[in-house]
Amino acid sequence: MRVEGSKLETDWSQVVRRCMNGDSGAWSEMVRTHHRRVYGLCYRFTGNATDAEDLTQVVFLKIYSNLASFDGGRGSLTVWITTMTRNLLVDNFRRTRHQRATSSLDEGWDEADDLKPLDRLTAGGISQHELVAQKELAKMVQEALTRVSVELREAVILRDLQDMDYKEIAQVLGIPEGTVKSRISRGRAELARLLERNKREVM
Amino acid sequence: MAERMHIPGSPACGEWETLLADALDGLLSPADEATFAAHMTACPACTALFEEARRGREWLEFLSPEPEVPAGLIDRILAHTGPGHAAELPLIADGSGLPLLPGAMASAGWQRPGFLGFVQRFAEPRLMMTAAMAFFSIALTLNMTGVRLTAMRLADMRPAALRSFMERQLTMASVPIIRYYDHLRFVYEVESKMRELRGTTQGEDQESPAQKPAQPGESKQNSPHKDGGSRVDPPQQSGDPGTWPAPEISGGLVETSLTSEAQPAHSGGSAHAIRERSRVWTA
Repeated sequence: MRVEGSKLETDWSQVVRRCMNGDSGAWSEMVRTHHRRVYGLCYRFTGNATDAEDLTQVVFLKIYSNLASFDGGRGSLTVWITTMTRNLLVDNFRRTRHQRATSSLDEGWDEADDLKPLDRLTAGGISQHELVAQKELAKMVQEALTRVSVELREAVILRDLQDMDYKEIAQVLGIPEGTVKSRISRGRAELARLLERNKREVM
Repeated sequence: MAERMHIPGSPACGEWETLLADALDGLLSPADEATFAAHMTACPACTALFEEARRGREWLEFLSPEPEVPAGLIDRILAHTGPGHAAELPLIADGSGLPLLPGAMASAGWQRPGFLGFVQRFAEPRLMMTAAMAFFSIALTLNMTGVRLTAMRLADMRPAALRSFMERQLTMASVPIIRYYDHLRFVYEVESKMRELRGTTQGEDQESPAQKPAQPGESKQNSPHKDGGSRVDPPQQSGDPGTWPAPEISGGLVETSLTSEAQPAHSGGSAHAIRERSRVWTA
């Protein structure tokens, strides 16, 4: 994705200008190229497909109404779009904090009869390795990722799942590169701890 | 929390932590590599962090396939963004609690870039709540001060009109206060009289039990001298002593019946004289 982005990077300023001049072809090209990336970021951050879809639509609405503020000289279009997506995600996270707090309480209540992914795997009694489906594990990792604290989570997602380099991440998050690096390391470590704690509880 | 121990406690750990990401990428320079390894052998907390970060990155590989984009997402995005689409499309409502998304039409003022963000920010429930509370408290204050918005005219906003209104309100508020003060003053006067009377009768009983009790009117007049001036005089003895009827002493109970006329001078502004008659019982 990033290779594709840099290949087209020279065109993007012009594409943006064409969008602003009312060229619907240019706009749909832009949406087609970037929607996967935006959706992926939203999904990995929230861990919820419905939320991710709604947020992606809001992001593109925001991008469209802010096209004039894109400055090709200050950074790539990918960085610009990612910055906007990230800001919206963080805003949304803060806005829905209360709802999440109550829904996580609810989760606590029905946790008893809802088996965790690893429980489901071991419940059958067959060798774990045979049943470890890639999908189940991915689901588990995703679930743990949404429990990593926000400022570590965003850094980890941008680095390990969106393949951005440290400099770009520093631009998106508006923090120094050194801080980016230590947040990524701490985020990865927190994820491992969350996952391994889960496992210990099950064993 | 033992697990949090490795979060940099020393500058060396902090420095090491910034090298950690590059170390996992295998991009450390030989000099940094040496520093990195040297610190790790000395610091068990950092060794643990190294292991955890490495494993965390391995876990994340399970998420390397990009999540599947829902079918029709592009169409839905293009349906309400982009040139020419915005004008004819209705607002969409989603069930996720997100605000309505108006089409981004460049010409309409309320759809200009930035406006949506403003509306979204303002539509936050707690801000709406604050606005509602402010509205109610202002409405309540106006209501209590007797302002009727429906009866307001532009002429009422003239400085002179405002001034006369405020003066009227102040007078209305001050009359009950003045009246209250008058009543209080009256009670004090009666009280001090009663104390005086009792003091007089007791003093007489002790000093000259054999003597015939003096006339109440006289005893009142003489009381300051009887107890040798030790008692502080009441601040202001107003009213003619003649208006005080003779007290009937029956046991410990003193009954006084009096009629007094509140003087305009005392009421400090209340125009009409208040004529009152009260009966005061003191034990």
